[in-house]
Amino acid sequence: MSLNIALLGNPNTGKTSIFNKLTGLSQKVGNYPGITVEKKKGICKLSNTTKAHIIDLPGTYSLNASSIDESVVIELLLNKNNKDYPNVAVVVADVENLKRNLLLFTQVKDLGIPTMLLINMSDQMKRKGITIDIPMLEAKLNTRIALVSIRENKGLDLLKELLINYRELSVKPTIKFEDIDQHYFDHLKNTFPDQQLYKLWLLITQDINFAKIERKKIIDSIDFKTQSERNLKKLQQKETVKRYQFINNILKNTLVIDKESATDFRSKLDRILIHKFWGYVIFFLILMTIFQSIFDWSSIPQDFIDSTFASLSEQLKIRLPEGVFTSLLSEGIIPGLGGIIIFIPQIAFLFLFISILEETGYMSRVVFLMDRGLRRFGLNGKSVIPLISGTACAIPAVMATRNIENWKERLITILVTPFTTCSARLPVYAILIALVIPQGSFLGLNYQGLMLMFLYLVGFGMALISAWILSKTLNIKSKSYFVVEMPNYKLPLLRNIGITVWEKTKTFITEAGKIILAISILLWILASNGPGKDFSEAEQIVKSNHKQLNGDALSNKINSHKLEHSYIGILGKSIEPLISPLGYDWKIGIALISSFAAREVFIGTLATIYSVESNAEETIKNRMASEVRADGKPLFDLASGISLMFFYAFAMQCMSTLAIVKKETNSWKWPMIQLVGMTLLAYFVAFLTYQILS
Amino acid sequence: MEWVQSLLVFLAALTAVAYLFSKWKPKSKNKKGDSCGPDCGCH
Repeated sequence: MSLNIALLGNPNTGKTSIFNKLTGLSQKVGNYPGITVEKKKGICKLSNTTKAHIIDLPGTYSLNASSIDESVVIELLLNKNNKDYPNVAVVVADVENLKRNLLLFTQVKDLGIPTMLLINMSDQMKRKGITIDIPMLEAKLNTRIALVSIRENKGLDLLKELLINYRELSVKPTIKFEDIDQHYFDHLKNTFPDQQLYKLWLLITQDINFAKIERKKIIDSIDFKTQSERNLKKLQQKETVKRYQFINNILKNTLVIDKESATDFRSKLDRILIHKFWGYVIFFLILMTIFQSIFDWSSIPQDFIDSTFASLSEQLKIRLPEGVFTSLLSEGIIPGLGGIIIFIPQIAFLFLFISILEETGYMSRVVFLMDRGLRRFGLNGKSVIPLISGTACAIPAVMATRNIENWKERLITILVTPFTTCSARLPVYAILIALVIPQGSFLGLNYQGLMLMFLYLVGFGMALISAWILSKTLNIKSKSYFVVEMPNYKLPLLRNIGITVWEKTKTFITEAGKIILAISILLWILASNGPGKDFSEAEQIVKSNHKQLNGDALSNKINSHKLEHSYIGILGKSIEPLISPLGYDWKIGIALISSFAAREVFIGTLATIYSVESNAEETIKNRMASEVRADGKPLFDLASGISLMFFYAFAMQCMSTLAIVKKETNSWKWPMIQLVGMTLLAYFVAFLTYQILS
Repeated sequence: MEWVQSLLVFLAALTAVAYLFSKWKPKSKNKKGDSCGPDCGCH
């Protein structure tokens, strides 16, 4: 006797190991006609009288094809004329993902093909705390099951025995199609009484060519009226829901997963990392380590970059012929660019840590961990992904909300995501922290690193509070489901990490760099020109008012006078009454306006303004540190510094984010609400902070 | 040489304005379904 056996299963269920074990060296590798998907066929002697031709089909999650791999599986199962059409189908399931794997099993069985279930990796059951009542599962699924461990060479004899007796397998469908849509499926059955119902249904819903399955007959039929694509998709979704209801009911009584008794490495680690208490503690400690390292490790390369740009400006001034373009280069472009390049080390370290967390599989645990807490704030579990990716940039994070089905929950996520600390805020925080937070440490943790971490938590906290308020005011009634697949832990691949760090840093520098370069040029022009005699006759005015001054002091005073009466000075002065209660002067006001384009422009703007004002070639940090108020006190002190940090933590200083919010919501209403709401909040918090601390 | 430097500054300013304008000029209206699903509340 000779029979055809099809091996099917989800990807990574060990299907090919089973195939190799059964066929040994009797294998033949080919391709499916017309496509490059690999086809493996082999021969297995099941008994002295029975020989089996085994075909190893590509891994597929279901029979609803979305890729070529999946479509070749369906093409074989629907085509009885194919010489490889199976007498029996073996669906290989992984013991850890039985529920997901059973979807494919029910679909294959409903095609009327004798189908048995092979539960693989049975050696993992004890370590993972899994118990399966095999006889009950067999009865409920109306099939036979082989529990197999290739590693321990167990269960293969039973598998062969079941295959020899494949005729005993039931071909009764697992679900009733009438339950999906009685009218539609009755009509289908009456129109094609000779056809197998599920085969017909798959034919209708798959967009692939099965010439020999009488598709022509369906199209030509006068009686048969198919439905719109939209309705067919709805029916398909209903079918999947019915199947999962069937599977859930069965597994409720036959499968027990006791996480507490699991002893494998992954389970042990998961028990700690996603623990209700320790999970959060560990996550908090990891965050603290990251922010400490960002400050500690970045300081040396940052000092080097800062001094390099300062001397580059000086060298340009000396070596190039005197003139306006030389001034633009040395006072506008170079200091402006220096203001962004200096943050390469910190950005690179941030992404280094993020990519390590992603590569090791820990980030998925964080997503799972955060899901529990987020629901209390009216957010969807899927909101975690935008909120976490918002630490890099709000733009892709806002786009990542597209997988949230519920519109109101999606809208809330879009509105609160810009509160999470994006990489553009990092340069602003970094320089302000370095200026106003002392370098000392507490219990080995430096204050500057702790402040940076605090700002990240403040951003995340504000996102949650805003979400909670919005969920109450927007009256959200329904909630969506949340599914996250936890990958196995693995050692990170250095190459992958290197590529991520390089790509993210490059994107940040090139995107921000171009904007900063353009704004630096315009700022320099506006700062180097002004209307009226106050600007054009600045030298005579200063000399007559400050006769005691000479040398550098006189020169700096003239430059200050000119800047104050330049176009940018007039603009800054005009908004000074509005921002002085926050502790800012008109120069910071200019930086606030220009950084509306992008937050990181703030530092570049100040660098350009101070460079125009002073002849001395100093580092950006030193220039900011030497700024004083009218009463001689430092401009950047604890009160104004923290006030500024809070302003940037809450303000919507990003035109690109507004543009993407407009695109995603298809209306200016929401980005405008976001802009006004966040700016008012930022102003209020910054005002309170300055008034309390000063 | 002064006029060369002034010309370079003028060109730099022109390029900067053009770049910023191209970066934030209003984009053409999205096609339906381009960026949001049928249940997004915006159709």
